[in-house]
Amino acid sequence: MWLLPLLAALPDAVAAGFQAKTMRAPMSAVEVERPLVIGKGWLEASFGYDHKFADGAWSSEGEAVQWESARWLYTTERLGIRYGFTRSTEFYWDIPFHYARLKNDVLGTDTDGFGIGEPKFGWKWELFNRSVPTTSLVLDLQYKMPTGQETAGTYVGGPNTFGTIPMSTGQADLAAFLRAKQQFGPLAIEGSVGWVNRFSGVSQFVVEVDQYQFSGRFKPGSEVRAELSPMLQLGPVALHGNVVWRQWFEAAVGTTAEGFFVDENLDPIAGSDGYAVDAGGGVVVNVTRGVDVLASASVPIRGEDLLFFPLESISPTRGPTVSTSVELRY
Amino acid sequence: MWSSLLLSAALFAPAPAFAKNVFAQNHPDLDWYSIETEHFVVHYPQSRKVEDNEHYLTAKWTAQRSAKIAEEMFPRMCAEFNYYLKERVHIVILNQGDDLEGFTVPSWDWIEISANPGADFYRWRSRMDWLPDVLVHEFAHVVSLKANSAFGEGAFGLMVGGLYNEGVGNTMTGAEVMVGNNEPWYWTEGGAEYWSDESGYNWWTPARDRTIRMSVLEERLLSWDEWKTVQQQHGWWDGERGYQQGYSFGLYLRERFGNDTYEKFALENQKGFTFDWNDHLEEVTGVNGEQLYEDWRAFVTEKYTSRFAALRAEGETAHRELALERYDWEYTDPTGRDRFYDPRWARKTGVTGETLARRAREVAKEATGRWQMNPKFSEDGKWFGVNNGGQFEINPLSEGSFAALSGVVHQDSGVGERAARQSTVFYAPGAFGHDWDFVPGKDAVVVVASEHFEQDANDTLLRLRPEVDGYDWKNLWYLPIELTEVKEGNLTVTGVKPRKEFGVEHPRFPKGGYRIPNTARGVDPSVSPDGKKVAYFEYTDGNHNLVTINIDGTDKKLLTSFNDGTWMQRVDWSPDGKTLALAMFRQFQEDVYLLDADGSNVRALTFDRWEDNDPEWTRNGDLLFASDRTGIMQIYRWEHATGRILQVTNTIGGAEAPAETPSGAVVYLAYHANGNKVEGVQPADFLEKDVSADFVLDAPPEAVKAAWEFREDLSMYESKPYKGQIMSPGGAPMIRVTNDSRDDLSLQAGGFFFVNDYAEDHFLYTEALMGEDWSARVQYAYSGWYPNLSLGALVGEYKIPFGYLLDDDDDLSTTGDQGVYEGKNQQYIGYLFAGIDYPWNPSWTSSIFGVGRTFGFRQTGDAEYAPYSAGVDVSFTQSYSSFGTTYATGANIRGGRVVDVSYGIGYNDIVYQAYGGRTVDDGELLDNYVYNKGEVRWVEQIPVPAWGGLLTEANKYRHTIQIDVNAGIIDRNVDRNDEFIGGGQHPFYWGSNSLRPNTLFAGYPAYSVSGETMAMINLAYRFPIRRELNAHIGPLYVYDVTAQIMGTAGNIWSYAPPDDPDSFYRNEYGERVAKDPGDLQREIPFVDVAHKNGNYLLYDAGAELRVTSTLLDSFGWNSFVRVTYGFNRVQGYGDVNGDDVSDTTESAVGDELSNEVEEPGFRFYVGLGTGW
Repeated sequence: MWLLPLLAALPDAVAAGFQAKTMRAPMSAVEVERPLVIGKGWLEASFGYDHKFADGAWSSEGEAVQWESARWLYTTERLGIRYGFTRSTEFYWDIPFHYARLKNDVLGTDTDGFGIGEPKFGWKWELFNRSVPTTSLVLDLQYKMPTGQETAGTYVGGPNTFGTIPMSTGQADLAAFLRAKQQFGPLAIEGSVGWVNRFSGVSQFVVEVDQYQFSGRFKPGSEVRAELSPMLQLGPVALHGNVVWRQWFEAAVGTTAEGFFVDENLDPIAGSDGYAVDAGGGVVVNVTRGVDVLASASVPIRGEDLLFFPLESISPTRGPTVSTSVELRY
Repeated sequence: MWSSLLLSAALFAPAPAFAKNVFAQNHPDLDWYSIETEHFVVHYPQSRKVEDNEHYLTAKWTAQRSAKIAEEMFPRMCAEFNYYLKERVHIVILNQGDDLEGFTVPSWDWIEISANPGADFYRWRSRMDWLPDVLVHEFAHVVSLKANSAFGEGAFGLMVGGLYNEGVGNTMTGAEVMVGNNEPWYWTEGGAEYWSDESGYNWWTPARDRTIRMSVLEERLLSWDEWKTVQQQHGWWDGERGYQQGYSFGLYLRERFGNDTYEKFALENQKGFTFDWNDHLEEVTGVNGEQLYEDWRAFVTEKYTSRFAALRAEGETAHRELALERYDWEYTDPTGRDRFYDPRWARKTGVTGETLARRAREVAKEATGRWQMNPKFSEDGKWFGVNNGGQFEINPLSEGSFAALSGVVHQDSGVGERAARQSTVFYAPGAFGHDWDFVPGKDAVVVVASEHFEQDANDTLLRLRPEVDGYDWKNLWYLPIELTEVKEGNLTVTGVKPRKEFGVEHPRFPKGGYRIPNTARGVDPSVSPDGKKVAYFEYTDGNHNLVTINIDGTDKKLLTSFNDGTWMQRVDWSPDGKTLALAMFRQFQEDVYLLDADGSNVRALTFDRWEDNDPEWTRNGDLLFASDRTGIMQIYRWEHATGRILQVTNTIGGAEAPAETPSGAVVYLAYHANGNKVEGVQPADFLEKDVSADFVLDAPPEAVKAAWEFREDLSMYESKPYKGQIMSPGGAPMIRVTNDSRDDLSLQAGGFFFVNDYAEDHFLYTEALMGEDWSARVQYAYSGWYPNLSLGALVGEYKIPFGYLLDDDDDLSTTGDQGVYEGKNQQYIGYLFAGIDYPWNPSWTSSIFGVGRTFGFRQTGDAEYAPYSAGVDVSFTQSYSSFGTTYATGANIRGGRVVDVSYGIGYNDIVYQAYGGRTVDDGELLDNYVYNKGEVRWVEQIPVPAWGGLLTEANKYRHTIQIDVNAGIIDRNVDRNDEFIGGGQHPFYWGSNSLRPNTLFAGYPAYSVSGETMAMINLAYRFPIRRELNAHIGPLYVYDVTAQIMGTAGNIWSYAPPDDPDSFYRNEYGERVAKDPGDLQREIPFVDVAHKNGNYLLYDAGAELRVTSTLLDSFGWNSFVRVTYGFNRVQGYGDVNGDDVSDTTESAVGDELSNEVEEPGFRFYVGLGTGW
């Protein structure tokens, strides 16, 4: 994928292989008209950055808690790839890297880390499509891979004194979403609802600390997720807002059971279920049909629980996130 | 605990360079140029060195002409599908070899064709206008397959695979499938012919008609299943049948449903992927595909049955095959086979059913004369010879020996065998299809063969001939017919004395034979009546010119000077030596010309719309030739005295390549559905019909002269130096399961991506897989110099869950103090590698491959990775493969060998800080060390010799013995990661269809056997259970089922650590360390017990079933089931018994062996679509 940004620097002759192809599906120049699959033959690479700063969390009762001295910076550097495999299906890869830093002036700790996070591989299948105006209904299957490093470092002093920041939960997710988009002239509404099934896995950050520091098996709570996003297209600029609701269920921890049903020995962790509601908005600038620039921001509205800090994907902290990305299409 | 410090990532070893798509060898002596047009870029090579270059070449004319044709065909072909390409298509012209090439990869916008159409391919298409034919055909592929593709062009499809290693059940199950576009062969290739026709570049020629006609009349039309699933089940002819039958089907559908029926199938498929492409037939026509096939079959059956009846009404000439004895199925006419169609066929093959019997009959018949061409009797009638698929067979047989010419059928079953014994045989590489000639007055012939013919003929076993420049062009060879009296028991026969090579007899290069100098790229020789001169055609840049030369290579004269795609075919000296006759295709017309032997006085014997070729003088000065005047190619005779043309033959299969026998009979080439054979017709049976009026015999000399002098102006197609344009990139998403334990999904997802340039000098490949384990590979290969060069890097991280049994009192019999604890480590690996490989010839390749590597660990609770080791090794490998440059991948390889000999030198530095930068192996403390490593692997495939009795039966049923020997030695004790490692593997690890004829010690767990000295042998006996089953079984279409039984013996030995407590101490991890490394004892193979596994020798035995099949009629799907039994109880490191729990009680760490053992027992391997 690194070849794509290099194209601009290559002489015409060498770049001949990346010429426009007849087979490519039509692609609207404006965001509001685009269906939820990228279309046959299109390859998209996106490079994005998310910046989250948190100085608080949600209590188990759902109250906003302000940390006294801790400051949590969680950034995501994203490489995304979408490929229109057929007219109605696409494969996509989302490969995140994270730089995270936790600073606590009272404890005098300053821990940071950078590494690959948890890539997602997905397949979208457009069940229904209509153009002018655009209607798109998509089944989105997604697999999350526990690629990132998952040790928390030495646990001397307990779990709040981890030496490194885990970038992975150490287990895989399989998710299914139903996504829909309906265009009304310059307006569009996009919504989705889905289930994230979280499998168990031996995770290096789950450590028994009594004896030999061996790992344990951990199963984060599976999750229901829903999202709603209105959009307004003004020329080459699309404005959008969004609300995301997540409800996750109890996590479980223990040791691996013999045989194929390896979760049998896991014990639920009381109070580990919770929810979060975030809201935000953003702008998409359609520079050309092949280049979009995106910027957005979101803030947490409501939520509860902070059991698995600093694993953002299963236990988000409370703080605003600003994002920007650029999408290049060939 | 730390047994997992073994480099499990060894599975992901770097690989050497990549091969080019066409030539095994590079041609750095060439410069490349490009011609750009609106829709195309045409690239062509030209030698940098012009003077004193015996391999000078250019393809400029072919490129210019291609540019013109391409732009002309573009709108017509795109209109067929209403699919006008936005992307430019690159056409690469090859002229480095003498063989026909023509292929395309549409998604790469790449067409590659050779300037040279090869020897005789177009005889079977009836059209010598090679360039537009092949170019339009390939461009039809580009447009039709792009229009058809359900997938985005960048992706070949979706690659899904996985391997589940179940250690407790000792089962390895792997599966792999690449789901991609699945259009059938008949539509792809037949369609390309059809659309060439639709766009005005092709037509249903008499030769195409012959293919279908004889397939109908001889009941060998491909079946519907063969149409859907079979590409070349019986070799090239089935491919050609697929071409022509698909073309014919397109014409039939056009008549029945309208002009764009074939195109609509593509447009339907484009809408979305379907597992059965043939559904589109019903979607478009409303009629089920199989029914359409049956309708077409009925149509052509009626058509050709009527044609045969009409020909018989005209008077069919009597004829029969030139066979010495009666075969099971002897032709006299297409229905003559019925006389011999009896139950013997069913008994011989062990199968029943008319189709199977017909197929078996065909296979047997093919062995008697497939690909026979250009039969000739010598001037004195002493010799009969024929080019049989590039193998010249010269027999001291008079024409009276043949029933076809004498009317006497030999009932003596030994006559054929004796004749075969008396024949001289030249395996002349490159001679396929070319004409040849006897040398009058001498027992010698002049033939076409490649320039290394003599070296190749004298060394058929080792093929040591080095090839530096990569050229192996055709030349003319003078070869004496060499006969010797040979005693065979009480019988003395005259025959050629074969050359013995390691006990194996081969035809030898005849004494006194030589390559005729100055005849590079010369073909179709004809020797003058005085035996002193040779007339032949010299090839350059898609073009032939007529040449005469003395038989010793002196006094070479070019009699023509064409450079415009003129193509000549068969030249012959008149009996008086004054006149040359030749057939020539020029300006869209193929006629017979006469000219004086000095090149002057050119005149056209025929100058008409018929395809006239194969001129051959008779002894009385008449001229035989072949013509498609009636729509069926027949032999005609031009009477010199009267100027009349008389039809000689009238047969339904047609006749070509005539030659007169001393008595005046005519032998010729006849087409049959199962190959072309030599037939003969006696003078009394000649048709002798005067057809002069149908030919144009009196062409005005000025018209002939004008046609000869016409030159097409292509100067507007200017070329520029090639700029290294890259092809459209290709790739595919990949989904893999690499589960090595029960308790994790280990699903990986990613993809590969690659790109070439059009001259194939540069190749870049990248691959990334994400999951709990991730890896990324980038590899670059350069093929623009004599050897191939490659560079690459491979990095990855791997997470390794494991269990660990703690036993407080180190006594497994007391379980109360035991506990299983879980762990999960992370490893990283990093490789940098570089390779050079040089293919000396198709059999020998030398390579140097260097790898720098490092790997390390992060344990639970570790903040950072800890490097374990860093090292580098360089290996020199000499490989020999009798299979040529590609691996043989059949289920039952019948003969041949692969031998790899390698020497490597390596350096390893253990840097793991937890061990103080050292490790212990076999009791020795290892810090950094240099080691030498030598290895030999020899895999020999031997057909069971036909030594009589059961052996002969076994040979007949294709039973094969396989011997696989592995031996190697490392000159010192090394860390286990540098040792030889054995144990059962699965082909999924190695990629589909790689040559792994057996896995080493399949009866034992993977990686369970290791050490510094390796010696093992595997013997296998393989035999088909069902050949050509050709039946649907569920989603599979099964071709063959093959069985193999095998067994392995041997071991891998290491160094034994000292047992005397005075000789070692325990380090902080409890490992034994020799006080004096000299106390380590190198284990002697076959004498000492290998302490790591506890055995003198390991044995296993097993059986395997291999299934060759197609999945869903579209995707190659070769599968196997293997069951092996390991007879020995083995011990080793870590999780020996495969339950994911390591049990090492003696010591918690390091080099000590596990308490676990793997008991004797079965191991199971299943591979679905993985190859074997």
